[in-house]
Amino acid sequence: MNKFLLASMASLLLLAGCSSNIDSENQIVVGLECDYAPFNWTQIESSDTAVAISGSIGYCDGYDITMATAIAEGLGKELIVKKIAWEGLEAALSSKEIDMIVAGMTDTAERRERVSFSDPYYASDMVLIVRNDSPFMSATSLAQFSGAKVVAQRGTFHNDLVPQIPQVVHMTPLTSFPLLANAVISGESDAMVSERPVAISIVNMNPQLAIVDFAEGFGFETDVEETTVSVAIRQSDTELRTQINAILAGISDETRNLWMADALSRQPEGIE
Amino acid sequence: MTSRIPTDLLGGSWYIFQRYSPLFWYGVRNTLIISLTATVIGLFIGLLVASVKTSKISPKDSFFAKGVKKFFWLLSSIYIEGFRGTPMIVQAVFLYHGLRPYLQWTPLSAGIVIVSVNTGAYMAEIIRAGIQSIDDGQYEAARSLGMSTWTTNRKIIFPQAIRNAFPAIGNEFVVNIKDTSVLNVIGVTELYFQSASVAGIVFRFRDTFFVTAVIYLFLTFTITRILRVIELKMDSPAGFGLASSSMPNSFSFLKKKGGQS
Repeated sequence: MNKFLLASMASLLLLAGCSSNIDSENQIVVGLECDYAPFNWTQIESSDTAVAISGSIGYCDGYDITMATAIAEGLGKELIVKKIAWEGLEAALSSKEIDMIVAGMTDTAERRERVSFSDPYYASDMVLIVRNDSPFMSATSLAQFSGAKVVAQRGTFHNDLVPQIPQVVHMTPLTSFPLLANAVISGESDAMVSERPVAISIVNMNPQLAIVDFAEGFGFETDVEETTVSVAIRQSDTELRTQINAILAGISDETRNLWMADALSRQPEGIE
Repeated sequence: MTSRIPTDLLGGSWYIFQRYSPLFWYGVRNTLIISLTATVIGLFIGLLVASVKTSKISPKDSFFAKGVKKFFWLLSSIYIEGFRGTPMIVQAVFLYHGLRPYLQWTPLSAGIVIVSVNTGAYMAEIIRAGIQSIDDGQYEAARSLGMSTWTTNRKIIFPQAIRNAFPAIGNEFVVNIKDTSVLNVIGVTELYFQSASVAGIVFRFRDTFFVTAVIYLFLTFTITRILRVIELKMDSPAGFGLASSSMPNSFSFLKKKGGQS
């Protein structure tokens, strides 16, 4: 009996000692899903660009990691990567588990009530993904998606765009992009809303899917700031925000597009 | 242009298992750590709470002792009803985010605490049933030998209660292996969370979760067999004497095995 007690006491002590020690002087901790290619994904092999995931197994790579690495270099700090589910990112930021979110997150008025955003670090446009045998494949305007079943990610502005399609069947939003792709592949939904780089990734990995994009004025009406992604930080970290903006200002649009193209080509399980 | 992953269920699953087995095994490791630790801690919580729930208020107790006993009885009842009456996924989200500002705990340590406390509530009822199955005459016999309540519990009641409730206790372990999957909601990197990550890399849900299902089934099936062997050993003549000896000796069959080799 005493041995059991001792063992359980010891394990409790171990638990208490489990809390993470971050050296905020020399390290910057970034939180992301590692599940949103090509912005971020998980892989098992190390590579020049990938960063080991702290407190877990595997490496995280993608456009967000390239950007976070550039920010960390600019700050002169070591980059620590934490893999956190989308819903938990803001909570992790406010509880100081992480210092910044670089996760393809869009700067919205609603989120700005809780966190502070840097200038955008990538700009994109919105597309729909359909099955390549679907009648919607040949659509050229949103109006032609009338009556279609359309799905988007929960808790994103993508989901707010769906009602722009006339007579749309707005499907219950899902929690991750793999689930959205699965819903379209299985025929549960006719189309899913996505940003273009993510759509390219998904279509690369699923040959039965295709991108439908729209000419100017025929697609989703979005505010410019909605189709950009920014770094989220705590509202109190105003100095960090200034520093990050200065670093981002030094990265040209050409460099950003090049980094995105690189990320797309580095993805695991892409087509051969 | 084709994807590298075979399109059929078995081919795709085999490819995913081979290529991403490190991610799956990491998940299995955490699933086992959480469910085993939490079942053991939960058993101790259960013993404590069950002894409170079954302690009788005797007319000879002082007014103060009666009050203390009633207070702890009420506390135990609230604990059991609260944790058995709400889903573990809700407990996980509420406790993890609610206590994070004060405890600064990691998802893994939070996961172990949440599953332990949840299991404790079920264990309390399992142990209580085990205690109630023991004849009152044994309490009286212990009392007539001059044993205190705690000594009686420790030396006489608990060993028998645990033995009687062993199948149900083992079942809690198996249930925990499966139920830890809800901890993915607070980002614990257990088997379900890791599977969702793999699905995010390969964009193939059916095949990835087929692998996951087979792994869970392998874990629960193996552990059910092991528990059954232990149970049979306890029922064998070598396992007798359990009630009369203290805890470590009650598992004498385990010691004997070790001694022979």
